[in-house]
Amino acid sequence: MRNSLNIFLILILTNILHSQNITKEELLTNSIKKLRTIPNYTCDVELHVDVDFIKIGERKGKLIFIKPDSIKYEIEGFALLPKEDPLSKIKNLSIKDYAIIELDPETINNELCRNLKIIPNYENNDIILGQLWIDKKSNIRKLSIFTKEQGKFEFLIEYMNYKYPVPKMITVNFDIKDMKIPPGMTGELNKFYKKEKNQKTTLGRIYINYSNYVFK
Amino acid sequence: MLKLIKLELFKIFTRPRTYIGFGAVVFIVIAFQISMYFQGKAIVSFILDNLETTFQMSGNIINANLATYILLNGLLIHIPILICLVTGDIISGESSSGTIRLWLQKPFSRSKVYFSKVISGIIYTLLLLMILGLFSYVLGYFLFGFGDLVVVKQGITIFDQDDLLWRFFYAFLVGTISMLVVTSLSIMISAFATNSIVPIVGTIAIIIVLNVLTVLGYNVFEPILPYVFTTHFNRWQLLFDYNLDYHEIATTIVVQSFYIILFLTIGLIHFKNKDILS
Amino acid sequence: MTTILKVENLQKSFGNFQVLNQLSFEVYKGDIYGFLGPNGAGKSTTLRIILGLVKSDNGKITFLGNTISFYDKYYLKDIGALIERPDFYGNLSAYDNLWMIAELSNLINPSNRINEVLDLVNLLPRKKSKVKTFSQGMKQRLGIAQAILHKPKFVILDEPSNGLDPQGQADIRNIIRTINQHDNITILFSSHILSEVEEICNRMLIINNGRKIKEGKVDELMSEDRMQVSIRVDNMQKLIDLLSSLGYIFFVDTNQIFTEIKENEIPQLVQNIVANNINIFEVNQNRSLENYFLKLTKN
Repeated sequence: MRNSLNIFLILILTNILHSQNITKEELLTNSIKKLRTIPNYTCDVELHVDVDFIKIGERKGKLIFIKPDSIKYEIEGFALLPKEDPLSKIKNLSIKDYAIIELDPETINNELCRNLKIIPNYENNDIILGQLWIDKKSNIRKLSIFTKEQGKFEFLIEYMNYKYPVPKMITVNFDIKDMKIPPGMTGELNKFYKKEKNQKTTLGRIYINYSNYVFK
Repeated sequence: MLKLIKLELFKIFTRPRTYIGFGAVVFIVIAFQISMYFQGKAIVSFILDNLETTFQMSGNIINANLATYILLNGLLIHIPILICLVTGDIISGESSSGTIRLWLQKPFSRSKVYFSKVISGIIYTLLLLMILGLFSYVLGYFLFGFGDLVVVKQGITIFDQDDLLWRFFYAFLVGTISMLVVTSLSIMISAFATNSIVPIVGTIAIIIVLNVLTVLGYNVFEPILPYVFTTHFNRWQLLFDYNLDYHEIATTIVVQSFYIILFLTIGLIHFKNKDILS
Repeated sequence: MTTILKVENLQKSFGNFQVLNQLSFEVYKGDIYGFLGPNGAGKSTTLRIILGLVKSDNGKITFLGNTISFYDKYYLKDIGALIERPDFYGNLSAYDNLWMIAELSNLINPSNRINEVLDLVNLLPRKKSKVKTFSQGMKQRLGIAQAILHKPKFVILDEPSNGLDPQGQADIRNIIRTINQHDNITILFSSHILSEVEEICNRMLIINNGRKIKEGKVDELMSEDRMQVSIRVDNMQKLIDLLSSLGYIFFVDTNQIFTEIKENEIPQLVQNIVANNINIFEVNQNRSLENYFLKLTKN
């Protein structure tokens, strides 16, 4: 009994020491490789948009993923979908194009994660700045990206219990400017008198739930 | 009374002027939807420009529901004009042509004659609005199909297609009540006038002036604006709030009903007692 | 004699201008009742008050024994009227216009009756024509047609011959006589054409400034008054001597002598002329009603 316990403790410590011993570059590379193993699949999705000035009901539909990067949504009715797939962005990352800085680990959704910041070496990169929180299984739990065109996005990812790192739920947080519509277009004529407000920036969220994966 | 109404409708629908209103509505719908067919994406892109930087949008946003929703905004000025063309003339036109005598020298009370004209005016108004709504919906379906409705109003609200039929129905009802205020106002002025021009131009002028006051004089007239009937012309939009404000909707119905009753009563009192000298 | 319409002390003002002042008259069943007065005398106003188009300030009107009220129009089922110019829906045909009137009057099987009245007023061939294509005379006839369409007991015609040529006027008179005699319709007939009133009316009323001047049978009223008579004889001097001796006022014009005399005195004068061995070539009466009317309304 005591011998079993000793072996177990040794294994745990070895694991921790091992993961601590992987360099930040290796960690990121492992994560990327893992993402690249995902085969084609279809799954059910549920989208819920939570933005202050947008009211839209939950949307349900299907997602079709075809390697390497094709994502297609089939959703009935009008839907607001995230502009980018976060994992595709990382999947296509070329590590040599980025300087990686490791910060103190953080706990994300009860998982201790290593905290990496990536800074592009070249100006022409789409990603201006990125930050990844990667767990010990090399899954990216949280991703924060500043892009040239879309601004800042933050993704919180929970994974299915599959051999492939496919998401169970992704929460997308982003900044969005408030609407500024000419009152004449909305028929609210009595709004003409009001001074135009400065367009304020508000926080928005999209929740995406994934289920019923079918891998091909 | 039914007979009087039947004859009034016969008169209305044998006049070429009546078909100006219907023709204009059909033309407006066709012209608008054709322009939406060619320009719709650009307009929608302009309005939703903010979102396009953040989201990718899927689904058919330009559809019959959007077209009908936008066309309902014609209830502000265009439709009242078309209503007045017929209802403004309904008493004064007969006074100026002298045919009012044919009716008033028959064994019917003036109240019955008056209300037969009111009811036929209401029927004409309802038909005009039905044509606006149904034609817009049907043509929109053939051009764009159906889909969810994007309403831009203090933010963006997207209504599921399944959630729209009852909203449009009640929106039309609320819009109809507002247009019946126009009908009543024009009939009231028609009861006083002895020619067709005064009630038609008078009604339109009143609506335009009140609309201008609403927009330009908001700071000065704000306390009374909730009680001005033109303020409620676009309150059908309340049916396209995510959470309905029942109090506001009820207020609109009450205010507009008050004006309908007021205008028709004034018109009736005058019509019942006036000397027919033409 | 049964009274069909009785007007008592009718008063009406428009602003400060008094149009009717204690007007009273009576129409009997079967009358063709003439209603005379100069422009602005109050004729149209009186007729409009009877029809409930204008509200009187005071007075009482009784129709078929029942007092009528401005707000109760039921009595109008027995009245037909043509007030001032005949107005119709120009974009509709004559038939359609009458169809609407027939519907208002609850006529059973209106088609037959419409054709009947159109035939009576000689408009049957034009029944499908739009009224806006009609001449004034045709519209007047159509106006009479709509007035009698529902076979009323009493018909009011306000200047039905207005704007018509002599043939048109004659047609109107014939129609009036026909409906009075064949359909037993009492007619209140307002006109400026005095010869018409004299020709077809049995009773009449003359009003001026909203007041009754004279009312009664046409022939009785005519016989009350002196009329102008012209006489042509073989011996003018002898006639002059005779008229002077009898106290007549006269004047000579070319080969005729004109004198004023009451209608019922004419036979006696003729006898006197013949008795004095004067040969009579011609005796003519001038337009007596016109003179009578002008005299009364001028006073």
